[in-house]
Amino acid sequence: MVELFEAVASWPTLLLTLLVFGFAPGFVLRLLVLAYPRSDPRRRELIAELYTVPRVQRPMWVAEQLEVALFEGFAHRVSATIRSFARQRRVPAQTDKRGGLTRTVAWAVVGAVAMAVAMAGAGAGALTGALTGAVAGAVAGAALVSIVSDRGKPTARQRLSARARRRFRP
Amino acid sequence: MRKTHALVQVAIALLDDPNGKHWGYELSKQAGVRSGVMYPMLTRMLTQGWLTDGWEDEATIREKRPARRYYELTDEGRLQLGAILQEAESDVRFRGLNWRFA
Repeated sequence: MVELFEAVASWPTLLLTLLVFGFAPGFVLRLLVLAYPRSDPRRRELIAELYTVPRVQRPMWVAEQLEVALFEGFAHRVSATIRSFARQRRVPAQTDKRGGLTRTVAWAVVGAVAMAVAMAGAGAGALTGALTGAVAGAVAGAALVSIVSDRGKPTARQRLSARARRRFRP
Repeated sequence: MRKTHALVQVAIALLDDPNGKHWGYELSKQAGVRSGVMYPMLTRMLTQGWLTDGWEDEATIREKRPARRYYELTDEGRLQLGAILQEAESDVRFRGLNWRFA
């Protein structure tokens, strides 16, 4: 009995109690709310609510908030990231800078594809294989570049119909 | 909104004091719903205009703690939640609930 009392009243137990019921809930909750976007009022709300929860229940209450933070906070974060990524892709696509960048990337892809196919051919030990691979890579790359650089331009049919409209305009 | 046990319990807790301010932790205790279920539900109710939210006035806080967020029912919310409870009352699935306000 005395040993049990000593174990309960010992310094490590006291420190552990302070950690679990005093320091840890606030610290962990502040980490958890980082899952929410900065502008989300739930960040402030959860931290404020913590102080109304009885101290004994705080560790369990904070553990419950992990579920909320994962399903609400991370979901917001992921959707916000996807939205901003989509916006970044959409807006610069209307400028010439984006077209230049796309073409550069496309040429890099052409080179890489041609090189990879050529090396695969050379690895097989056949010169003709390497040559064929390089040609095939270049053709595939050229097709890719033409697709990328023609994006947004009028199609042949649209050009023809525009020409016809101009010709027969009263 | 799908009529679940949690929604009906939160509706009962909210309509217990239809004109008062409701706080997250107290609401979850009163309704007996885990906060992992209740907070997303409150967010949906806010989005649908059934609730409005606000922050406690810091001048009125006596303890050493930050201002809390409160929720208040709107007229639309009272109507919608009232209708949900009316339907739920006759539903066999919700027979075991504590219909305090009704």
